[in-house]
Amino acid sequence: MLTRLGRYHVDSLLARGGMGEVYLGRVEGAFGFVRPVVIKTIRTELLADERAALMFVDEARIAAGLHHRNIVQILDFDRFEGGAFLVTEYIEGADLRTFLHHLRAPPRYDLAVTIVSELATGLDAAHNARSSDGVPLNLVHRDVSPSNVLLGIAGEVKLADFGIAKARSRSYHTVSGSIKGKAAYMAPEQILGEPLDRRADVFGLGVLLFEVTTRTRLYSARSDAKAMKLILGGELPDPAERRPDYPRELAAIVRRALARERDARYPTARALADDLDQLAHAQRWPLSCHAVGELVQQARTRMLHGTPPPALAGGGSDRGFGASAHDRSPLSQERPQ
Amino acid sequence: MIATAEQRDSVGPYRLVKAIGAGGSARIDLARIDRAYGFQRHVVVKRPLEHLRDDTRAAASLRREARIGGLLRHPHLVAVLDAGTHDGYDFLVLEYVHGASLRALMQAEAPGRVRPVPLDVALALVTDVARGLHHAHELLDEQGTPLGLVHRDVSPGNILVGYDGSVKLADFGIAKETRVATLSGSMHGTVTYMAPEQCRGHAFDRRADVFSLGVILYELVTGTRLFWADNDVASLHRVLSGTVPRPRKLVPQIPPALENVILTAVAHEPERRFPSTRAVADAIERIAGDLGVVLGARWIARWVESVLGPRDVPWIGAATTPDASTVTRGDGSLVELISTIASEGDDIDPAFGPTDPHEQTEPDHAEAAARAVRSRGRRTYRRPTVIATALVATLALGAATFIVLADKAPSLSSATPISPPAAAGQTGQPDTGQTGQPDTGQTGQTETGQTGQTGQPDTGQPDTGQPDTGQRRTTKRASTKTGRKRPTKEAAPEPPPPPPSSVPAATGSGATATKPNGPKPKWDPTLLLPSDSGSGTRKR
Repeated sequence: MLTRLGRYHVDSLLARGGMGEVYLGRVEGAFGFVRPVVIKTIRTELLADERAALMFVDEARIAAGLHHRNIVQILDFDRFEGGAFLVTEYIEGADLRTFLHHLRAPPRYDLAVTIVSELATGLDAAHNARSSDGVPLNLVHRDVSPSNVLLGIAGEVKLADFGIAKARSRSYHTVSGSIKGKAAYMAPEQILGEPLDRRADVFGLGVLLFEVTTRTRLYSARSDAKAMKLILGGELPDPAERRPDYPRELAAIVRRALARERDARYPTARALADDLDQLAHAQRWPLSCHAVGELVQQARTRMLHGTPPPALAGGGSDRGFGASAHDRSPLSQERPQ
Repeated sequence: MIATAEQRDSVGPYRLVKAIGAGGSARIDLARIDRAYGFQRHVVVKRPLEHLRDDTRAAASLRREARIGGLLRHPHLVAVLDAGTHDGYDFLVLEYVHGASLRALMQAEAPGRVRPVPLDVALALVTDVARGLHHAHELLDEQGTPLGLVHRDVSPGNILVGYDGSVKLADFGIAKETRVATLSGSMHGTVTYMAPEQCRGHAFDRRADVFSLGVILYELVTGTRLFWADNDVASLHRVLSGTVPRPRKLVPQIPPALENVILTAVAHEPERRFPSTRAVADAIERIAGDLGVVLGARWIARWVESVLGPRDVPWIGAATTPDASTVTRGDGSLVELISTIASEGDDIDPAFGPTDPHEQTEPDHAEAAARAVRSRGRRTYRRPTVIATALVATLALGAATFIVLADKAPSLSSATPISPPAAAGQTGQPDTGQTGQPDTGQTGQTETGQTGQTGQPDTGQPDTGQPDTGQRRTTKRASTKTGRKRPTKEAAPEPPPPPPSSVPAATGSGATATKPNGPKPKWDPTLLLPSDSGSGTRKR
């Protein structure tokens, strides 16, 4: 295994994917300074010709300019003999997918809404990003899915992998399986291969909102093909069927974010966040990131202590995150009425 | 000639983009990493001031900040990203946050007042800082032993508020590890926010930070500076008197429960305060819940934008060629300096002129000297302006030219039961866009190439609280050229635009040809710099 990449120490392998590996590492400076970082390598093949490399780096470069608390910060980028690597901040916590997996009940509505509202804020900042010349970049994330959302124990809510998705879609045919599991979060126009704008990400946020609030998958699809079919033509599930006390106003927001015609969707992520905020006001939901962090800590403790997540224990339901609700932890159920 | 620190264009792998200023004992630069394929990442580099290079205390402060910086990882603490030594210069790399200091955001024109802040924003701000502080207070060393860290200078000038709604406490340079030493040899921190036991030089612990946080909460919800006075001694006297006017006397709408929280936090005796800042945060969140006030970062973000106006990060629309030889120095806290980056995109020079004397109270001569600063020319495309080194915080904030857009004012006032009374002279601000805010020294930034002239007494703007009614910026960069004019600033005559030719050679080695060189800055006599500390002139 690698022990060093440029000036970064490599400590452990976190994941292996179509693009390369993800490592936990650290940067060491003078005077005893040490800070953990995440290092993502990109395989040489993907950088083989200059054009491909530029395509990849292009958006990573743009992402590095996105200084926003809801976007995972890219700290460095460099080359090494095996390819190139990106260095990002390390968030102590879990990704949203793992988080939902280890919850025993749907999170409280206010916490679920906080997560999505925060993400929408970060996405909106990215959508509005401009180049150093001030020209709008029209950045689209393309992969707003639970595994790209990081939740920290101190309440961080961050979207990861800007730029990666586009590169991945370009290398779709060369790196098999890279799209797997992502189809369920694709907007209809993305499935159809149409030109994308920020509303594709709004759709992704809608899927997230549905899934975080109900802790169930939007569509119970066993294959990507089926998921795509459902997104294109299936009936939109009613969240109240998954969670009986589902607020009607929240269901309306979900519906609008998931509108099949993009003109019927929220025009911007911010518009979605605004509606969520308004709902929070009306419902007196506190929108506390700190409380999100506490719940992340709970899920993380369960994860680290090896408690089998309900979904796995239950034999892996299609609904993904686990559907049982036996946990009585105060943060993961509705507040007393 | 070997370049001095100011003249070098990179520090380690960090290429200096723009000098931002100096505060306390350090100078601050916007910098970036340049990599293959045009990858760039912007950061902030902090180094000791040139004349303090051999100062062991300044060095120790920076190294301590480096050592604990890697451990202080929290969304409400400014992140330290790297630390190193380059050609014998210690440096620290910090995250860049696009925003302004809370001090800049709180700034009101009337002395002793602060800008009315919506209750939800005030509570969210203080809660965030409290959470970050708690993380620091609880910090363990590598062996798992509590460090007993106390920040010691929790003040609005050290709190950075971003356009994205992030709230971050900065500057752990003087943070004390109480397990190492319980007595402070000298007084650090900002006197109007300092706990009485700290002022007296007695032993103190995290509850001193609880006190400081309480003062900030008090000021945000009442719109009144709690221990503000004409001078430090008077402020100190007020802190030590133990007298705190009840918030509800000032603003009757304040809920009694909130008043209790405030009064508990600023209790004279530490044992009567909250035992931790987490307890403060929990208490505030409970009250917010009871009141139905929603605390969210997005409210903070909206508030920041409504106060400062929309603004790009400084590298958007800026010249891409770094001009590292330009230096602007001034006074102010670290955060003030970091935050001023935000204004740079406006092509308005930030000023770090001597700030509110009540907020710059470290009696330490070395640090006081460090604050007396020298400025040099900036980018060549800028019109030089003359500094108006204000004696007062209201004029010297430097971070921003404030603009209040009425239609952008936080739309959540309905959810804000308390509306602190507008200070006299503040009413009607938002409608006119004439905020009465300091046309902060930002526009009055020194543009001189002077060196070693830092001892120049400031004769400008001795009038505290004087509102600068100078013309406001109403749009962004497009209008900044004119927006920089300050026609009514009597002590700060508009500088002649053409760059003077008398750039001292010693400072000009990097960019002599076109460096604008305005009139010499005038400085507060109390901030005299030792004659050799115009460090830019030092040849190495």
